[in-house]
Amino acid sequence: MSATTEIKGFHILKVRLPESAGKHHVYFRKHEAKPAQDPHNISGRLLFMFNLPIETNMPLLKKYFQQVAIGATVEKYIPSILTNSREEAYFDLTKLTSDLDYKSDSIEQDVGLKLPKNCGIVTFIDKASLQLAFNSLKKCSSDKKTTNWPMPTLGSQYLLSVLKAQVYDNATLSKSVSSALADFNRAEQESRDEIKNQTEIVDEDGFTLVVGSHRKTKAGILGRQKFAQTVGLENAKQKIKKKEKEDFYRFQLRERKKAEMNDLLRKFKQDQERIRTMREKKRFRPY
Amino acid sequence: MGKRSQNEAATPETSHVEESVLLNGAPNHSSDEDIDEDSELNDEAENGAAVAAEQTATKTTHNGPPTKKQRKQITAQEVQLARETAELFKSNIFKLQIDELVSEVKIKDSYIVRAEKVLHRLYDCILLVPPVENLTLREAEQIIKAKRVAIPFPDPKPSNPNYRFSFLQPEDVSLVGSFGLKTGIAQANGMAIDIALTMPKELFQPKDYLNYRALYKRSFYLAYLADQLIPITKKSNLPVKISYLYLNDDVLCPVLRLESIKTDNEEDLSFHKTKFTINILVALPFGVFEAKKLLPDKNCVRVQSDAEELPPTPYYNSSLMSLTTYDYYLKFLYANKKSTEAFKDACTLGRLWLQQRGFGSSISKGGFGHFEFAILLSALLSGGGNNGNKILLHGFSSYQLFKGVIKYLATMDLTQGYLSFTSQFGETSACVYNAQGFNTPTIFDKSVKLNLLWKMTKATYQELRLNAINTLTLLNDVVFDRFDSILLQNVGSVEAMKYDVSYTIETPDELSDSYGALEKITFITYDNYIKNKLFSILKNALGERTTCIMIKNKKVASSFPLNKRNNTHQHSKSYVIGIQLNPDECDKLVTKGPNDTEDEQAAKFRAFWGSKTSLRKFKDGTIQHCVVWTTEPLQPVITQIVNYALSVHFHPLISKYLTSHSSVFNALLPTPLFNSSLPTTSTTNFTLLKNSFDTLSKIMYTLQLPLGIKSLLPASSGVRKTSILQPVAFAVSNPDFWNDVIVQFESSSRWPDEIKALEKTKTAFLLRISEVMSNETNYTSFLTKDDTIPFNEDVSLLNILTPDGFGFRLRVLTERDEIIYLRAVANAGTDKQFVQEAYFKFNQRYIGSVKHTRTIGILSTSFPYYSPTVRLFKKWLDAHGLLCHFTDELVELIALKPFLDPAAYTVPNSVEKGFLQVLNFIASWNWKDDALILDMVKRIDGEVDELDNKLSDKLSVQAYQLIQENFDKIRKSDPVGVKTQFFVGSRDDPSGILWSNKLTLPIASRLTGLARVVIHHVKENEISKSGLDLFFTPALNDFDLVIKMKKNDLLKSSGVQKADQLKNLNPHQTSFPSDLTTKYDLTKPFVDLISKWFGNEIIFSTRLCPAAFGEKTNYVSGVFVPTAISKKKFRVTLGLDVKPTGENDEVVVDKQDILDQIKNLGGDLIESISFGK
Repeated sequence: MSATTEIKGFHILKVRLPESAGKHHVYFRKHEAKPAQDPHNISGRLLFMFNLPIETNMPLLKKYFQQVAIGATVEKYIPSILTNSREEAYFDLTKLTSDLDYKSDSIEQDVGLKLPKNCGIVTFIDKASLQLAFNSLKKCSSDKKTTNWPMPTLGSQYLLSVLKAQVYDNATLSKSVSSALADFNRAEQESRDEIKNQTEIVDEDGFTLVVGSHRKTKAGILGRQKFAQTVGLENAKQKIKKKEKEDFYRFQLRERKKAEMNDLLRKFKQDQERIRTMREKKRFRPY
Repeated sequence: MGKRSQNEAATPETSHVEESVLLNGAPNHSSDEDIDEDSELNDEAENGAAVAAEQTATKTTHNGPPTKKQRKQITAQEVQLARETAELFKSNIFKLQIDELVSEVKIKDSYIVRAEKVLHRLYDCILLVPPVENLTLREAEQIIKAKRVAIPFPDPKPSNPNYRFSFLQPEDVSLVGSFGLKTGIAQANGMAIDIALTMPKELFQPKDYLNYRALYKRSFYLAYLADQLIPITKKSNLPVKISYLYLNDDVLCPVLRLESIKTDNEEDLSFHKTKFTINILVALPFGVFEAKKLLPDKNCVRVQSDAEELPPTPYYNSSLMSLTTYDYYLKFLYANKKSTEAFKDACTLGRLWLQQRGFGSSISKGGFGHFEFAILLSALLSGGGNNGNKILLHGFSSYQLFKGVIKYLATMDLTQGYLSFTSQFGETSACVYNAQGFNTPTIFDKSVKLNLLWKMTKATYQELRLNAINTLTLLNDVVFDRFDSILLQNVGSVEAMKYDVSYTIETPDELSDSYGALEKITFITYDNYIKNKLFSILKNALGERTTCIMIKNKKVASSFPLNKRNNTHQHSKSYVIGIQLNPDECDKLVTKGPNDTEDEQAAKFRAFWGSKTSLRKFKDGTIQHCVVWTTEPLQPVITQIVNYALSVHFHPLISKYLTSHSSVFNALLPTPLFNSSLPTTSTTNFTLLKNSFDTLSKIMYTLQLPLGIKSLLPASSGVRKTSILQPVAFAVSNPDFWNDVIVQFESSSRWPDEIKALEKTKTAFLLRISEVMSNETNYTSFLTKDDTIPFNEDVSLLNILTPDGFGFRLRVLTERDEIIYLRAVANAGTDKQFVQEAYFKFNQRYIGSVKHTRTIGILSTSFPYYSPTVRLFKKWLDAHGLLCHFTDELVELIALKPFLDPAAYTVPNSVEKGFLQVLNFIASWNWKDDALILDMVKRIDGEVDELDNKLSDKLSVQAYQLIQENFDKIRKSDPVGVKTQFFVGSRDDPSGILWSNKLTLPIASRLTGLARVVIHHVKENEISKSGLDLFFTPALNDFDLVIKMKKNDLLKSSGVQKADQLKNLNPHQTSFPSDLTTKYDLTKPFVDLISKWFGNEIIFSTRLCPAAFGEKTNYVSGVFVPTAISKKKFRVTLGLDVKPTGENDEVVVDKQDILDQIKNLGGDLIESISFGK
């Protein structure tokens, strides 16, 4: 059926999963990261792959490339974070809610977050490795050769391990918590320092920022300010309203009555409209 | 010439027919009405405000159109009233709905014209019947062609009478009944037109009321008429089929029933299209017998008996009496109709209301139909109060008249007291309610001396009254639109939805021995006798436990061919007994009798209960006669009592003849390993869980922690008694084993203002608790990762195993959480909907679930059968693999609907009624147009005054409208429900979508579809065990692929008793396994994973709890998403497993490959995979 070996610039690689007669199609091409967006300096060593089989991981890929392209050393495999998620898009709640800068973003997170579902990027140890791997894969592709995908059959043991992985070991967890909190404290300290700097600045009107002892982050302060503003405004409005008498002048009474009546009429019209739609839907058939 | 003179001769006699036809000539009349309405509308357009106010004013009291003066005097109060009623839409929308309905059920004018033509021709035919006079019985029998027509003599047949039989032209022929009155409405099975032929007075002698004599004469008259009409109608081109019909199932009153026959002859006048049938009633002349002699307490059938005094024959007397009153009451009703403008519409409403509830004038339909309704309405127009004060006024609207009658039925007891009125014109004596009654339902016409409710029994009256009470509360409801449930829903069709328990009973043949001559004259039919007997036994046996006992014939056939003397198959031998229970009493194990000092009462009690009685001393020192019942796992107490009482007083082998489905329904609920001898509906095991939680929280509060614990709130289906399996200690395979608990610490401002750090801090707290607990208590605990909230991977839970075998899972809630999530939503910009998902999930798990658990906890105490109902409902959902798609809370809210708002049914007090009502609601819920809005309050009994109403947390109109507006907003942007299907709003969640926002259209539609199948089946067939099993069998053929999982016996570790095992052989677990994960059903993580990977292509479903079905295997089913499997242009963002098609860069989902990967993941767990379709 498929004479195609290439689709929209992607090469098509067929692999065979264990214990199956069918073929799985993987799509790949070289991937370039723009130099400006390449803090990890990985450009030129990347292979973009789409539709890898389930549970693809480093050891598996290593095994596979050993099989099809000996010498092409895989450095890392960065899967899309969405592949293992039910969500359609990923959001970093920290970035949405706080301006703390953790500066600890690893390459996995940086790249993985941006990839669409079922995609992954394989980084090789160097350009030559990539070239070697790419050529071998391309050859498989153009020869329409089906290679074996060296994945194990998973089954109950695997699923059990997934369940067990949910259970934390208290000691390790405790360690990771304290390190995370240390990170946070550091970031917070930085942020606080920044605020402190701001409090020392006198703006054009001669004001300085005042910071309460409890507020620890910039966003917290700004959020609070916004909140305070709206509340104040509402209060003021309400105060004015309270002072006004609503039934002092005749015209006020008249107008209110008129408004009420109009309201009543409007509702009546609405009801009629509702009945009309109900009639159209044949709602009034008792049998 | 001959013809003409006949026509002329007819005029004086038809005059009445014509008059009533012409006076209300439908076409004229209705067009008048139209004009009226138009002018009203114009008025409104001009001066809408005034008219709207006027409308409410008209509603309240005055007659006729308001004068200018009245119009001007709109006080502030009136405006307020108008305003409120408009908001409450009882005036506007209810009125408009009534108008619509009334015009919907109007009979087509063309039909009426056709019917009038037919009636005229029929009248001509009747005049052609030749008279015969003074025949002996033998002659009478001979004159009628016996092969064609038999004389429908009532039992016993006359023998050697010394009186003669004759046929003379009727004294009077008139249209009677609703057609004559023009209050008829279009009906599903067609309508009957009644014409009454009054036998001439000279045919009767004063003593003919005795011993059926008048009825024998009438029978001959009827048979002779039928015999003659057969050839005459044929000749007159009026092809009809004539048969006998017991009018209103009354065996003493056979009438002729004429059905049109369709012929090819064009001259033939056929009316089959109109669906009309014509009943020729043969009436006796009004006042022919002395009314005093036929009073209900007189005996008019003399039989030989040992008894000193013969019992009264109320049935016979009333039946005979009402034969003389057809025309008389027509005139009475007609006069009332003329004097009360809305009379006709009110009758239409009344008739519909009764019909939808299965009531009618027939004995088998309760003996209260539109005729009785109209009479009551007329009576109340002239009085009806305790002092004869008027209940209804002539100027009332149709709605007010209808409501007035319903209110009267609901509030006045016509059994303990009675209503008396006069139907004589000009007589001023008032219509009064008398407090001293006859212990039988009575509306007594003093002029005619007839009890108009003679066809009713105490049982049917009780049912009617309950219906009225029910409807009255609906009519008084100012928040919800109750029009549908009052007038449009048919409530009568399925017994199991109407009654809490229903039985089918076959009457044993031997029983007819007890039906002697005296019983015969009292009850006239064996059927009445049986019903009466059953009712009095059951009423005595069940007492306070029931609110209503209904006994109905399974089948009634009232019409029979002309060549049969009577219809021996009128009533089938089987009866349906429907019982509505009183939830406070029905499950009590002790039936208390009189104190030991009351000798007379005690003797009665002992006589009734026989050897079962015992004397018991109670805590308060009283010694009472009692009957004690036992608990059984499946059979409700009520069934034991019914069985026992009927076996003693009805038939010793009653269990052979009595069947009920309640035990079959109860058996569908899984039996727990612990407390397995208690009813499956019991909640004792849930109480144990709750106790365990209480103990845990007591300990937790005392722990020494850096921040004290402020609150520990449970939020799980186990705690609110709604989990599919009953909680059993150490049953870790139970899918609801872990019970969520929300912990809040004392407030602190030091929680980090950043989500990751916040979660880590919480984790640190949990770690600390875990440490302290393991040091100081015998609870074991460990932490797990939680991924219920999308984008927040740092949530951890503290899992606590209690020494008594239950599991709790602690989440920490701080005052900062919600702020942060909301901030995220606010900052998300265009991606709001995704981030909102996180907030929703957070709200569900941390806030909503707690509220929900609290609310359900309160409500389930006042609805004892809510818990078993919702559990069975969950099981049903799980059978079809749907439960995994719903949040527990959504399921529980849907199941709550019939308990909070059962209209037009009543609150279920049994599993069967509850379960069927839930499904019935789903089947009829048009969620595209209607929101489900729940008023989460306990039902308060009796009348509540306004203050109570304000203080209770009932949903106010404002709150209701707010929720409705939310729904309207959602539907405006999503009219067909692609995004939001089920909208379930309540006080706890005005947004309406907290629990249903992740549902998908196919799943929602599937639920509706499945519920419809069940309800359809229940309506068409009788409920049976095999039918029920079918409801719980998944339709696996509907799926594209089905994965059968390997056998994995988790019954014991789920705490479920195996069906065929003895209790003692299967003790429950007494300790936790060393590794809990080994006891989990791996199907769940399996489905989780494949849904993550292939959820875009396939919707997977599975059962969460195969153990609930007593099964060891599970299945996973999948349906391809239609939009995903079409050909697509290749893109890396497809998110699908695709293969190239070879054309135009197009790709298509690689089904086989997906299957291969699923197989690979499942490995040794999978038994087989099959591709459907």
